[in-house]
Amino acid sequence: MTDLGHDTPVRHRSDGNQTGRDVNSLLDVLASAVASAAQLHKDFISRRDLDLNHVYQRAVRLDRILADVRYLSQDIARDLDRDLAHGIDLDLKRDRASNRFDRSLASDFARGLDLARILEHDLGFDRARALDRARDRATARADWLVRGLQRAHEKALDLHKVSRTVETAPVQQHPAVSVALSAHRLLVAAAWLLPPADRARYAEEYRSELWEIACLNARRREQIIYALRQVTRAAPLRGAVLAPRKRRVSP
Amino acid sequence: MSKASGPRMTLPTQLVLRAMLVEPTREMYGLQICAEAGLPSGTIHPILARLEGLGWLESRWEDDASAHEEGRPKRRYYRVTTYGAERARIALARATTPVSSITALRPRPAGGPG
Repeated sequence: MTDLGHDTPVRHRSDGNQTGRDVNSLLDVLASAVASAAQLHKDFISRRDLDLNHVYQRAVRLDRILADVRYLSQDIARDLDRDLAHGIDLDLKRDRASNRFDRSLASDFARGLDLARILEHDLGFDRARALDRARDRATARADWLVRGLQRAHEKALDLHKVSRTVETAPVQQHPAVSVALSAHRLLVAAAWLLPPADRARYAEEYRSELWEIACLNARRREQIIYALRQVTRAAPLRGAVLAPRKRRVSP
Repeated sequence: MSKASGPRMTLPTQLVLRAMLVEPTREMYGLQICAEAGLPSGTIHPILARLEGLGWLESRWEDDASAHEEGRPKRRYYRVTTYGAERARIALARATTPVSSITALRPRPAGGPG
């Protein structure tokens, strides 16, 4: 992850965005895991001439894929945690919704991994006991596994979408504008603290405002102050965007 | 949609509403509102979101073409609704902390020191 102290103008994501590359890797691995789990599910559903060895090998492979997914999600969660730790008050650390988001993501992956291991165990057990009963149990778990992975996949896509909203196009095309990378990353974190439906909008709005501030020759310090304000105001903003939805729901 | 009675008329909320009521039909983006209200840059998003949720404001994205032509990211523009202008004037008239009595705030350019 690039040092937050650099005043590197934000260009495309290829300029040293480790979190962006990790997210891409995570998405690729998740897509592979979802495909493998779906095929496993299909194998059980067919129930005809089920080659248990084949299914067993597929479950083992899925187990390895899920281990990779868990490793990547922890890596991303650790990088995000370290980024958020820079320049943010201790009070905010206790209140980070993104921490809960990361834990939820890692929890889904851990759950998927546990289910894959149970599935693997059941298939081994299946050889010694009645085939149909174990197959029914494994079918239900494979179904659960697919749903859990799809949910985790959606969360990772959401994460990817927020990052790309801020990073996809060059923030400045004007050669004189210099956007502080650390301010830019704080704004990504501030957008993550908002409800999923609102993240992309505010990420875009923050990006626009940071560019305008940088255009006024604001120094790195002023840009970071602006970005920190968005982080500190994320909780009231979150409450403000959710309030109309709560009013619609309440009797 | 049933609308709540109104936002808490804190001083920043009053300043934002007054800035937007100067020309109710005019659209302004976030930093512009901050500058005209005399508030530090980037402090008003919760206020704008609350007012938008109540139907007092509406917002839209700028056309991609306009922003691209100027070589910058597109802006989010805000404007007072007809309903909002009426409610805002009533709420400002009832506010217990008159803006005119506060001398601590001073206008700041957008992006200036916080």
